[in-house]
Parts: sequence; structure tokens; C-alpha cells
Amino acid sequence: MKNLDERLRALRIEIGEDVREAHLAEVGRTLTRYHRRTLPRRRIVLAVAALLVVLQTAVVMAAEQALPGDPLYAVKVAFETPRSWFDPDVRLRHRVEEAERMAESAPERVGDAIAEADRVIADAPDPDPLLTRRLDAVREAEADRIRTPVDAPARGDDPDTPPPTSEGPIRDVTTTSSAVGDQRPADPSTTSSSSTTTTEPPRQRDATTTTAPPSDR
Amino acid sequence: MDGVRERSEAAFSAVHRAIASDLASYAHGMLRDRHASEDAVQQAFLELARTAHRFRGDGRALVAWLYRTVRRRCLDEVRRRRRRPEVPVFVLPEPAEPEPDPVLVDALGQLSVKDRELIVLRHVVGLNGTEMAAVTGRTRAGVYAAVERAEHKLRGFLEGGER
Repeated sequence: MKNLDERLRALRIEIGEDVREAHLAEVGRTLTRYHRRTLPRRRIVLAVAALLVVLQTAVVMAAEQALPGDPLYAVKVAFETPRSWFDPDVRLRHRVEEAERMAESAPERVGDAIAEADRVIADAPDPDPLLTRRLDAVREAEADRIRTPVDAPARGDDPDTPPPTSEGPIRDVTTTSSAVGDQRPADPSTTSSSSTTTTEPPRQRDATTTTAPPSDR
Repeated sequence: MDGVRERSEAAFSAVHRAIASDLASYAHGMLRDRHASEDAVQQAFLELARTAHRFRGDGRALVAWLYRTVRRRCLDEVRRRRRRPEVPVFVLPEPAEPEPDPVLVDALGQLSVKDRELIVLRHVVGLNGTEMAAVTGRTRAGVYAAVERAEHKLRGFLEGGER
């Protein structure tokens, strides 16, 4: 075997200097080319990925404050599904918060918000009682607002602004809530001075409302 | 190793000086074609130049990686030659550079590619069992057993050729 080993070792070849120089020249070109090309590309990819993460976070955070009809409201609703895997009450909390904020900023749409929250409660297996109490508070405040509209004189004085009717918000509230069913002011059998407010023509009603002493209410 | 990872030309030059002839001998043992062997070595170094910044491991891992890359190139070349039968799988010695031992070369040519590879790695390049295991992807014991079988076959072909 020793003889065979020596014979096999004789088959070894050596790389010549000219070949080595040619190899190393090509390696040098490749090193330069890839150094120029790969590093900035990697930085660009990392920067774009970081930007996307920041952008997505910003959009989701901004969408948190969106109300129905806002451009980002769809984002808020879309992210509720994954968030509900960790926080089952997220949908109800959002709807209640929306109803609360609408009660302050857009009272004419509160009925829709309460109806939507009621739908979420109906679907929820175990809704948070704190949230349902907050929703009931909004519902009661809305019913009070409809019974005694504080902005009625201003609306009645403006001929371009339609007066609040007994059809819209009252129907929304009462049809979506059994808790305030006994407070329905449109029912003639239970009306007092406040039912007069809702059934009279706008101008007369405004007058009644503004001239009636507080004790009559 | 850090120099290679940092894409230093001096480090590449040092690695080339240290190992290129071994790699070329290995490729030559498999292909019996000097130009193709040198080309396989160059391709391995170019691949290293492209991917050195991602390389994780020490010097031994780098050497094993270079052998495996040359091996892949050689096996690709062998497959390419098999698909094109007009080019012989085992090229005869070029007239300008005669083989030192035509009988041995002929006997090696009768071995399978994998047996020939083991004989070349063990006896031409001079790798030990651990290094051969890292290159071929076998266990050390498996390498020794396979080398012994290949040597037995080679001796048989040599006896047949020299008779």
C-alpha cells in the first residue's frame, strides 16, 4: 500500500502563480462589487422594514380614536379580531367608548352607536358588566337629552336647521334598549309636559319649552 | 477567519495560497481535467467572496466548506459530462502534460466517482478521517470503511491493468 500511496501522491497538482493571480484578481473584483452592492441594499431593506413597522403602529394608534365614518375606522375594526384573541371585551369597549364620545360630539348618531353596542353585547358570551353599565349610562343620558333638548331654542330660531323630530333618536334608543322602554316620550298614554314637546309643531314646541318654568318639567 | 469575514483581499490571498493546490488536486482527481479543476477552485473562491460576510465558523469549517463547494462543482461537471456522452467522464491526460502514472490513472478511472473521491482525498490530498467526514458528509468510521473498500477495488483494477 505504501507504494500505491506514493504513486497516488504523485498525482497531486500545484496551482501556478499565473493561475493564482488570475483567481485572486477575479476574487478582488467580486469582493468590491458585492461590498458596494450588498451593504446598502441590506440597509435599505432594514430601513423600509422599520419604517413599515413604525407606520403600521402609528396608523393603528391613530385608528384607536376613530369614530364610525372616519377614514381609519375600518382599520380599527379590522384590528379588533386579532386583539379579541387576547382581550375578549375589546369590541364592546370600543363600541361603548364610541357611544360615549358621540354623546358629546355627535348626539344625533348616538342611537346608532348604542344599537351597535347592543349587537356586540348580544354576541358576547360574557360581556364585562362595567362596560354594560357604562352603556346604560349613555343610554339614559341620551334619553334625558331627547326628553329635554337643551339646544332646542337655538335650532328653532334657525330656519335652516331642522328641528329634532320624535322619530329619529327616540326610536333608536327605545327600540334598542329595554331598560329605557318606560321612558319613551312618544307614547301618548304616558306623556306629561315633555310629551308635548315632542308632538307639537317645532315652533310651538320651542316656545313651550323655552317658556315653561322648570317646575313644570 | 475574521479577515475572510471582513472581505479582506489579503485574507483571501492567504487562504488561496494555503489550500488552492489541495482543492485543485482533489478536483483533478475527480475530473482528470486541469482546466476544469482550476475552474472549480476559482468558482469556490468566488462563491466565498460573495457570501463571506454570512459565514459562521472557524478555519476548519471554512476549509470543509471550500472542499464541499469544489465537490459540488465537480459532481455537477461529472453529471454534465454524462448527459453529453461525446465528452468522456474521465478525460484522458492532455498530450502537452502527460500523466506521471498512466496505469494508475486508468485504474482510478475505473472506480466510481465516490470511490475515486475517497482515494483522492485520502492519498492525493492527504486529509485525515475527520476532515474527510466533514467533506463527504459521512461518519468517520464510515469514511474509513469506504476508503478501505475503494482501496481494495483500486488494487484489483491495478493488478488487472499491470498483468
